[in-house]
Amino acid sequence: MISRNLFFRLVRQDIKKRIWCPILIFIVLFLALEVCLLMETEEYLRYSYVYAKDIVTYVKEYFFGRHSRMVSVVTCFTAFLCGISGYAYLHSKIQVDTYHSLPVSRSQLFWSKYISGVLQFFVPFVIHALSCAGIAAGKGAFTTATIPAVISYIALQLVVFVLAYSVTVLAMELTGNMIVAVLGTGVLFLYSTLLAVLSHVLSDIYFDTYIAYGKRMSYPINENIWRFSPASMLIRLFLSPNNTTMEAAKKLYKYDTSYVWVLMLAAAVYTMAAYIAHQRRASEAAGKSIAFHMAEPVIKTMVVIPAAFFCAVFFRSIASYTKEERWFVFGLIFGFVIACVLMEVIFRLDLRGALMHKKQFLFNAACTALIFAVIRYDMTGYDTYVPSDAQLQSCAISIQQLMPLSQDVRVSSFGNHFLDSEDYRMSNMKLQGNPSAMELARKAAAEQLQFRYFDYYEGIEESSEYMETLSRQEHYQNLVFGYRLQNGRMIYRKYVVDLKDAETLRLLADIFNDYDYKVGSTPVFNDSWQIEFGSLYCISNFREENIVLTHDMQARLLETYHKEYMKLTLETVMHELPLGSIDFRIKLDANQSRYKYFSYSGAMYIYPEFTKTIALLREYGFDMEEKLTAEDVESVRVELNDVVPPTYFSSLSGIERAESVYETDSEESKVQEYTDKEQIQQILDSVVKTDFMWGIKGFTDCFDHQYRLGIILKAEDGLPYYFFIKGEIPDFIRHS
Amino acid sequence: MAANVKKLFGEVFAVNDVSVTIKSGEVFGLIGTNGAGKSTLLRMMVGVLKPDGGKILVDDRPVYENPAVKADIFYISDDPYFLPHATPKKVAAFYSDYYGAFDMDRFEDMLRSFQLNPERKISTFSKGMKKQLSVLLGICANTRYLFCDETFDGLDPVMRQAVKSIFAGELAEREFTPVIASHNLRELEDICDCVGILHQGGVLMQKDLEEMKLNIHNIQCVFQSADEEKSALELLDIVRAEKRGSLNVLTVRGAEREIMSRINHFSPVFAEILPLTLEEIFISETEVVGYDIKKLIF
Repeated sequence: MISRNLFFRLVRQDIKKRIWCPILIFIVLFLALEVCLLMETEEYLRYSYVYAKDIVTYVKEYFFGRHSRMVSVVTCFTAFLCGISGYAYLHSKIQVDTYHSLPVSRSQLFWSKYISGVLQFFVPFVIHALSCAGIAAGKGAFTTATIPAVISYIALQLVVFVLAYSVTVLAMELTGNMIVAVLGTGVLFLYSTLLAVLSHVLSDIYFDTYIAYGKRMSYPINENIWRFSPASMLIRLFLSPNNTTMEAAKKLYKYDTSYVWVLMLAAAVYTMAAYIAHQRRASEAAGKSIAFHMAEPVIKTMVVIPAAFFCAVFFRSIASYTKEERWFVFGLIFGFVIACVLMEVIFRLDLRGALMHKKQFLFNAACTALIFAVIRYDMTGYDTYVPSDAQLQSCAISIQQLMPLSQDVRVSSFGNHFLDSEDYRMSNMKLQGNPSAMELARKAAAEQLQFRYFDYYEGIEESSEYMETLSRQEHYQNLVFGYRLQNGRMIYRKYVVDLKDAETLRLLADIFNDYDYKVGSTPVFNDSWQIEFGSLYCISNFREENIVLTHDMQARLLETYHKEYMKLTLETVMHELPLGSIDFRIKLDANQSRYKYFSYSGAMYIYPEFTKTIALLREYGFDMEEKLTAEDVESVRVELNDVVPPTYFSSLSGIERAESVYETDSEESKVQEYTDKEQIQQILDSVVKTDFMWGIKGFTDCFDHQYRLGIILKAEDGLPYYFFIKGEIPDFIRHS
Repeated sequence: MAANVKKLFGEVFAVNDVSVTIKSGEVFGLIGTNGAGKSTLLRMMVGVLKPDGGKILVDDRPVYENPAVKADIFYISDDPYFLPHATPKKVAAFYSDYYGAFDMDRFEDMLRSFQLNPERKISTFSKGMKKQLSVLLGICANTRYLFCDETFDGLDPVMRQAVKSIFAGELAEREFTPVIASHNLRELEDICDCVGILHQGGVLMQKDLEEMKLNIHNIQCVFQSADEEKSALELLDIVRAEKRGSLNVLTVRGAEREIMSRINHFSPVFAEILPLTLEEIFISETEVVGYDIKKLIF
């Protein structure tokens, strides 16, 4: 009889048999943990002024917290190593003959090797983690509060290991050949992630209204695709959520602790699947590609179709705009055939097997063609979908290039968090009772306007089709809609609208003027109201200054600005230039020096009609209307931007092309310096700071991008760059 | 006991409807050409492979996934596996984890007898040395059943004889049943008590060698007349008959006394029984079913 003692003897025997494995793991973990900690703490101590947190918090929150995501990669590698080495005997006929003839049940053989593999990781990991705790203690960076963090750190890595390990073991059980097992592990590990990426790429190509919410690399964990692969789960675990509040953005995100249970459950399921496969696996499967032949057609279909589409996407990506469609089709056919042949060769381990299974070849071809047809011709009506009023609970709208909030909340050098304007709007805006919103959505969905891109070549301007297209889409603008349905589901769509269309503009104005739109797009009026900012960064056309705010000053300013901002109309935005902007900032930590713990709320524009805000700011010591006189200025440098053919930027909309022109290499620009006081004064009276363009670009046609100006002051080094206000370029410049 | 055992590899029957009974304490030889299904049958007998049909019982208990039964079985495969970088001593320790009755002292003694260095890496051993080591491990595991797949191939005649001596010693001293698969009948004829011939996945025949020797005879005889000859031959269970002039050379089944009694009844001019080698017995037996046994002999 097999006793418990035997079980542990088998575990010991297995460890002895592949002693190289724990040794290698020990070395790898030493580099990933101790060496990493030593290097990071040295860096911390050398440049401590760039870190917002003290070293104890740094070690606790970052090294034993956020750092887990990096260590998880190492953990997955060790899991792969343990799984492959532990169950390699299944792929060797002589080893299978030996092990399966021994007086031990397959069950015990499986579990002894399984436990052995886990121990080969776990024991070295615990030793290294404790060693790291010791190092941290030696550097005074460890307190009793760090102990739970260390325990969580070890526990999380154990879960990650078991998950990746069980997937590797399952791949080993399902196959009979090492190369196929390695490929199989890769497929199991990445499949749902790759599927999500493929879904994203295909949707992006073929659905004009498709938009990946948040733009923050969240598409590999597409909610519509079952995240059964460890890679998807790990990305989901560690991926910072889309910050939708200032408070959330300020926090150092470690990982989603509530999601660890999903990993544990998945690890258990994969382990049981591997165990069942082990019990049912025939010994004669050793040396064959696959241990369960009935799975072969399913695996082929699951691999061949996505592989064909990936190939299609690859060929399309390297093709020119005008021929990308045909290269996509070529890639699809080429990839499909190659994938089919490769799969057959892999399964047969023989090149002659490539021509077998013609029926399945035809079946897979039909499936691939069907999927292509569905997405290519939008048979599901994806692009034209707009929920009915009855289905809709509320909606969120993000009008691109219009007062985009971009709150970069920098917590410290080990936690730089960003509050994306679109994320914020999609999450916080709940427009209801504004018929213009859905009317615009239906109009946009019906019109299906899209930017058309061309390949640039010398002389393309002679193409009437090209020029007409450029002209037509000169005022195209992107909108993102987030439909919040009655069932709680959010559906996102991206539309292109034409700002030359009066009706569109009317609807847009109705939306912009809506109180809920403004509140839902401006955190300072929403969840940030109660934040103690401490300082206000004011920017006018010729001055920038930081004002220290008291609680009372902040409250008064917010209230005043709120009232006036709510009255701001789209028409004003389109036809007037702002006087300046204000930017609420979190008070700097007195004990910390530069780079530490600051945030900015994003420029909030001050228009001339914001009289009360302007007055209040003046009371606080900042005059938005202050002018610069020629006496203060030493010289003005005017750069004539090289006129790069606008068509070069044919893939961009009008304003984006203008920006690109603005960003051209200054060496190629023609620079003229003006020192004459009269000329300087004329220039000063007709310039606007380039900073003011960013929040309203695409809507305000008040900037002339032909010249870029640098103003050199007598007292200071200089001021940021400027543009001329459209139509106000002095004659002496125009004729120079 | 294997009853109606089947094993299918893909669409090919490696073993098809094989029934074999091995008595405890006898040496059983499983003979067949390459691809006859010997190894497959052996691997099923030791519980490595699961039969697709039929059943395999050891001491009336199924062997597949039955560690208790397997504790009485040691399997020496055609290409034995040794742990990487292992020495004979380490391999013995490996097997002693599984086989509680493994006799380590005896193993070390036997290693010395066979002049195998216990500390030398097995990877440096020759094929023959590895086979010797496998046999020693199998013997020292002290299991009741030892299944050897082509174990005698690669052993030089001296070693082969030494191994046979060990087997003989084990058979004399304890309950021991070796089952030896080979493609060469000559290797087994002096050690096996019973032989089963496998052909194309099925058992061609299974015979006790002693019984076989007693039940088949080579007779040379000359009768006085053609009529007497005809009548006499009709009474015999002739496997093979050849006539050289008036001399009849017969291979006849049956007890020696009974055969001679029937022949003598016709007062032959001349009649005598000649000794029959094991090869001749097999040739005679298998020719009947159209099998060329010479493949297994030469």
